[in-house]
Amino acid sequence: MRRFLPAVLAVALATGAHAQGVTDTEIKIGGSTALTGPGALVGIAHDLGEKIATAEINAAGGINGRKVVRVFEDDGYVPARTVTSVRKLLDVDKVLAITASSGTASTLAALPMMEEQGVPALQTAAPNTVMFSPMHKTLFVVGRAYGPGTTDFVKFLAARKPGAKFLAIVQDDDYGDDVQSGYEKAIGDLKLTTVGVLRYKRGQKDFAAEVLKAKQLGATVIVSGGIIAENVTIAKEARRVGLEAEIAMLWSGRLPQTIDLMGEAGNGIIAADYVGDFDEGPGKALFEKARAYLTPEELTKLNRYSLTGYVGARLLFDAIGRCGREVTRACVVAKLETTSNLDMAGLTSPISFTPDSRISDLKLRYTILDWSKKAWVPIN
Amino acid sequence: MPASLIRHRHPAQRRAVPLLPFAVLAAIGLPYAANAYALGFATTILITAIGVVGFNVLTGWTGLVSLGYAGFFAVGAYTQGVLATRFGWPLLATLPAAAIVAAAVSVLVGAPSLRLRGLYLAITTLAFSAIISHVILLAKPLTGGSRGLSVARPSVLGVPLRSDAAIFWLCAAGLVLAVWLAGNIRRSYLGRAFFAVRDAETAAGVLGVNVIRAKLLAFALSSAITGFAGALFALHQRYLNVENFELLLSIEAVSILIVGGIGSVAGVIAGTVFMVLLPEMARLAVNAIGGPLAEMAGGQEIRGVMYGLVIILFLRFAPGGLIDFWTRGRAWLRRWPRTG
Repeated sequence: MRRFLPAVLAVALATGAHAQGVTDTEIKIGGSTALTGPGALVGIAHDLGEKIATAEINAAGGINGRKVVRVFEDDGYVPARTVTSVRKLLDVDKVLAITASSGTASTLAALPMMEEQGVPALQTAAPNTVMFSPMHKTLFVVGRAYGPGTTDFVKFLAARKPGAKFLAIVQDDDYGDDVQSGYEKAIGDLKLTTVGVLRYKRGQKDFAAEVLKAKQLGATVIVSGGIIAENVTIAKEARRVGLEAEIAMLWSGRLPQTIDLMGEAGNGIIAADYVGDFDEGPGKALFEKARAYLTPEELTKLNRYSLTGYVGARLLFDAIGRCGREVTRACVVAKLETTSNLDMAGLTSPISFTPDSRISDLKLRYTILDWSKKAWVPIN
Repeated sequence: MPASLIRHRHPAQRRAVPLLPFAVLAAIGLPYAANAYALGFATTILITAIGVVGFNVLTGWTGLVSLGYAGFFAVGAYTQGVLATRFGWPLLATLPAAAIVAAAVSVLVGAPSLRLRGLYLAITTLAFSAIISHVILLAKPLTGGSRGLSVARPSVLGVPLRSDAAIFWLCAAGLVLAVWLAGNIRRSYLGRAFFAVRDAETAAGVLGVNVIRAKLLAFALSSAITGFAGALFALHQRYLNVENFELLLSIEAVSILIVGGIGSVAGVIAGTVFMVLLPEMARLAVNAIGGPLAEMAGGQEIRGVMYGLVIILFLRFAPGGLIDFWTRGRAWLRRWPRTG
């Protein structure tokens, strides 16, 4: 066999021995998100963000002359289906990297498979602590971790409203744990006044009890740790019972669709996010560019998750590009972990990773919902 | 197989004997011929079939309508996950333990449900599934709570079960065991007691069947097999999260029974193959048709519509399920020269 090895290597080099998902002309990437069901609001938007980034890079000649091809699977936000989808992407579609998997549970479900094969993977929608601590070699998380993000947010709210009485309403899961720990850290750091932390069951629909409790305790700032529907319900319930407290929420619920759902009750809600909006600044410029790549119907489905999807795809393309013509999974992982201050044209703060860290802690920006404009307006 | 031996077997077994070598060859050869994706599908089919074979004992044979399938499946899965990962138990201990724990839990649910039938029992078992979900979330030190639990793949007699092929063969052996067990129960006194309770509970009691014992045993046997399937699911998936065991899983089990043919073990297997492959077939069909159909939400919603449509069509036009097609087709072929 040793006699034939040089010949085999020579043939392999001559014919272009590439990593899985890479040919002379193409680089194939894949993702699995919820394109149907309640999670589709997030999944479709993410898919469209990646679609813009892919169309943009292909229009510019691809990555080192190779066109990017995307394959997207629907997992309906069900972890078991994510495993099947990712298995298909890796073994049938033969993708190089995985750019998305619905949420925390879905990503963790597919992680053993991705780690075994050394697949570079991104998570841009759910920057949960469990994703990056302990560190997983091939999984890169873009965003602001929920815990530190909540700490920053509460400190911002405290500076804005001195002497406020804080209260947090959090979900009884890992997301809620992160939010609660971040909340308690801020309270402890600044010695703020807290009137309590109320935990609710995941899937809860009625928040009358929690809001009445907040009113009874005299809360003047409520940190609403729901996801989408929960934040809407808490805001509407607070207005219904005449609770004058300021309501603050993290990025997961900061969607154009929630403005309509909350109606006037949402006026004045403060939100924190690590990406901007499509109706102002760099987001607006991207929206104009997206007109060339998306249908009018698709444009209406864009939201913050399109921006996270776009940013994630740009990050991956940058790492692949730095591998030159010899693209391998190991190279992409190595380039991702040495990403330093990658400029995202103002859509997010610059992205960095290190060999010891898999979370790119992005800077938060704060917005307030202006019902008359039906828009999230930046707070200086 | 000598004719003398075949003569002593049940007719269904006799019909299956010539197919056995092909099934064994297919089971051995598939991991070498199929890619990991196809093998993953095949493993999912095997696990689902084992679970629904168990579910069939309770709902198909004993007539006790249950929506607790997801709960018993979860109990088996988490028993496997917790014992293997947290306590390092070997596979030969965790698999029986998963079946035993699921059976024990089912007796706890079954006992207060003995006087309930139909929708009332269905809702009780549904409530049980909800309780199991909450217990999993509360038992965070063991189950990982909402973060889930990574499941270690253990060794069998010193041989590590790391590859997907090894899990596939384990599941294939599990299905053979489940079908053999179900077939023997069906032909035993106990199996006949189950059918008697289903068809005429009062008459069964008058004829000497201990109805309470029969119902409890139906719960226990059904859950043991379903729990065993859950344990295999844990090994296959390698990660457990409470979101994997939602109501949809129980609905899927009921759908497989209906599509396959309620009460038939062969129907369960046919129904499982059909229902597990249907979304994939729908995807391929939508992609083949292409055009606006595939463009519409990436064809995903169309897949869901096709899935639902097939179930409705079965309920309306073929309530006997796939097994009924097979039986009628075979009868028609037997008469064929005469009937034209």
